[in-house]
Amino acid sequence: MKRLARRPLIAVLVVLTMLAAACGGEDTTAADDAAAQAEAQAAAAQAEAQAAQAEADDAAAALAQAQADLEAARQAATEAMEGDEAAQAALAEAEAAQDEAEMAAEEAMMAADEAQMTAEEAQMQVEELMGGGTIVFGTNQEPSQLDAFAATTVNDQAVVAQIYETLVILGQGMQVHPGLATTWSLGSDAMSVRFGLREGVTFHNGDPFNAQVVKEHFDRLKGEVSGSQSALLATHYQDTEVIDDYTVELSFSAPVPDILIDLAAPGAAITNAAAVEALGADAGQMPIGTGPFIFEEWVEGSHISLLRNPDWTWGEFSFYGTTGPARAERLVFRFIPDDQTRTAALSTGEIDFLDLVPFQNIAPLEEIDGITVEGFSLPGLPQVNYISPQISPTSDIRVRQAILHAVDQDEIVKLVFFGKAPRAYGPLSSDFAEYDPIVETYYPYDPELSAQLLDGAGWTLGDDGIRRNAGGETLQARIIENRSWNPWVTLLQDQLREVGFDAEVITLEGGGYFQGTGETIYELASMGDVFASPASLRRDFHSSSIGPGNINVGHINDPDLDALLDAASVETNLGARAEIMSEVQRYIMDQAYIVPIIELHFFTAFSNDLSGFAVDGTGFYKYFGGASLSQ
Amino acid sequence: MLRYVLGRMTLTVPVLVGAAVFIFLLMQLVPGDAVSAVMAGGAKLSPEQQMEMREAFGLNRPVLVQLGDYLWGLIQGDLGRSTRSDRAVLSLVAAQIPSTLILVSAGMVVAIFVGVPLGVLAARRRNTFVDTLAMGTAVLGLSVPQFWFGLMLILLFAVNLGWFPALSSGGFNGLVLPAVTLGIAEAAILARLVRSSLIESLEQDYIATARAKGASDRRVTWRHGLRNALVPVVTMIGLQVGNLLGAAVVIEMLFARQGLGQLVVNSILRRDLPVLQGSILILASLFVVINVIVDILYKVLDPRVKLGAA
Repeated sequence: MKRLARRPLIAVLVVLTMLAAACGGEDTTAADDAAAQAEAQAAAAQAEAQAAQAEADDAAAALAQAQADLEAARQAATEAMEGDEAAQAALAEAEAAQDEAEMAAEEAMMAADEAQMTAEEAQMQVEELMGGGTIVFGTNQEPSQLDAFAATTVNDQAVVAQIYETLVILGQGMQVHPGLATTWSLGSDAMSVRFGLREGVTFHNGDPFNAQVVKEHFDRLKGEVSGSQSALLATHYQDTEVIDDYTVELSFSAPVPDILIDLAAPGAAITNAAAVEALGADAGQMPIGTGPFIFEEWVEGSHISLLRNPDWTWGEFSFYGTTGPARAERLVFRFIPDDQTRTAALSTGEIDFLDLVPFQNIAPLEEIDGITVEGFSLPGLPQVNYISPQISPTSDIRVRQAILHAVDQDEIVKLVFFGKAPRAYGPLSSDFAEYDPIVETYYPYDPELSAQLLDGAGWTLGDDGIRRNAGGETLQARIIENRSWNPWVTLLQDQLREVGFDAEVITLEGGGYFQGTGETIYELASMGDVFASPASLRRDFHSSSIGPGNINVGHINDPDLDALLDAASVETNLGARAEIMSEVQRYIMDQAYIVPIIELHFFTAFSNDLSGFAVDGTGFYKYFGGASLSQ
Repeated sequence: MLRYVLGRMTLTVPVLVGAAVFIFLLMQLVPGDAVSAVMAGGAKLSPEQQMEMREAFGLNRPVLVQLGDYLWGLIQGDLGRSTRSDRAVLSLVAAQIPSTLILVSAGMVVAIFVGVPLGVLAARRRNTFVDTLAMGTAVLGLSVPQFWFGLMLILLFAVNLGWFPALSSGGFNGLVLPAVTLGIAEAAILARLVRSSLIESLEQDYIATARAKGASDRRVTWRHGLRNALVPVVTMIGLQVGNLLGAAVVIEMLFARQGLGQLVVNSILRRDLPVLQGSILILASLFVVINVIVDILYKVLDPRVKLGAA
């Protein structure tokens, strides 16, 4: 009895383990398929060569026949010899036939040689294709869905960028490259933009790409909009006019001077609206784009894999470094939530590329042979803490200024960011031409001045190192962080305590962060924002951006600042806009609305075998159309 | 016997309902909902759109109505739909169960094949250096945090020696490191239990009889002693499967392995409460089912066991 009871349990365990082992081979089948496909191509070329060879053989046989005929004619001629002119003529005819046959044979031989060469080339191509290999991208979080139009998270968009294409592409240094549009012109009032579309482009399902498709895509903005980039575009979108098969004009209800930048985000890529409608709820799981890679499979909790699109021959060379097809045969996004495991997987070669390298891992990774670490600046609002003017004690500008003088950014850069990201001075990162360096002179680190300002504001230092006002209230500074995004907050807390703040850190996470900071006003909420147009600063400081789920988490509500930001967002003259932006930066720092901390940098680490990936103007998205792995 | 089995299974119904209600109420405490998660992703939604979304997800109804709907759905085998991808929670969860069960089984195999021999060794060489070493190792195995232990295994066997991959994705090779990480703490528990249980049974009269019959020392230990010592051990193994299910969540994240753990964490990050709720409910149900099996096994091993009696 007892023995019977024990054995099944162990037997079940053993069987399950064996099951696990049996499931192992799965990963290789798809790779085998692609190799088989390439080999089939080579085989076809080989067959062609054989056919040509056969043709050449036939020609050679014809030549032999002609020679035999000639010989027979000669013989007949010799026999008839005596001045028989008819025989002479026959001989001449036979000789002509031989010449003809010889030429035909030669031609056939050449054709055979050519076919042989084609076959060899095809074989070489196959080998080259295999050399492109499978690139594995180690990503920290699984995307939620892959319909470009509905893409919200950066993880969604990192994958979307490989499957879909945008009308224009934003390269490093904010250069606009052609994408699905080859020409563009912004209306003089910046309320319309006309695009000349690329011809000969098809979607992965074979549907053609043309003006009508573009119209259908943008008209999705008139319906229910859930993606972040789409929501941005939907704000002022009016209509798309089809001018001809390959020309469209988009119109807007307000000036949109930055429309090219907005349309270059992966979330603004052109989708196949008809296919999306047909797929219904599955659209997010079965993406159909025009890009260098075709969606292959999504294994929840493990990976997404994409296959090279053999039809993608319209790549923009100035951005991708190739016109296509993609060099890599397959691109896999492997979800690896743990930072340390992700790093380990790069050094074991299980992945070829990883993003978002934690700052403390940069130096150790740089030490490893065969791995390159590269940082990219992310333009936008630097990592900052808002200093909310809406509540006491930070409603007093002297307290806000005291905070700015009490914070030592250089120490934060050194201890928290390992010297790998530069300190920030204002609300706009120095990547922008509109950056005004005057802000660098505003608030030097000066704890004594900070103390004087606080004394002057009526906050006196107690025996416990905390300042209080006449009413006995403590000098409160609640620093709120979005978990794992704001690693400097504890050092900030320490620095503020030095000058007598009763500083504490409150942690929220993910969706809860923007809920909590929207509902409650805190003295020091942490924030950073990535964007490619300086006028986007509006969404970080405008009063319309206050509330749960919004990103003006400092609750900055200043009509003068609103007016400046509004003016900047519709100003179409770049020179005039730069002046407004300069005023915005000075105003925000004059009012001491933020403590700038660092300019955000994201570090990528990749195998030295990987080359040719392109990085967009935001520094965040990597494009693998031109990337390959050397063996 | 049949009555016992049926009775035991009936008892699981209130437990499962209780678990479902508890998990549902717990979800109400999570800060932020699906709408705020979408907005945290950068989406700008007007208050009207937010209302519409809450309406569509049924988030604006009274909690008790939502609970009633949820339970009614459960009875029909409907765990709801993901707020992110609109796919059925049941199919999302079902897709992850095999991977987690394989990992848990492999962890159990490690626990048994390391823990039992270690315990027997320690019992046979009681109070010797071997015993101290074996039990010292067991205490170490119990006290080392799994997460750290797993990282050390990755560093040693994946990065330095290159024997196994750091990432676990199906296949036997990828299963070794996570299974060892998962099983080692349970092996330590088993070793200690086997040791004390075996020592106790080796002191019984029938062992003396066996020895008197002239049975070899090995035979006495393995056939006579261990067989009886295993009764509590088998019970423990059943309970440990529950522990392993919980620990698998952490291990799956560490080794980037498919499974319920990844699903739980992803659905927390996405505030996809129906999926989170469904995964936790399935984990709880697995635990309950395994306990029922253990109870039934226990009855098989020891006919004196009765329902409700101590």
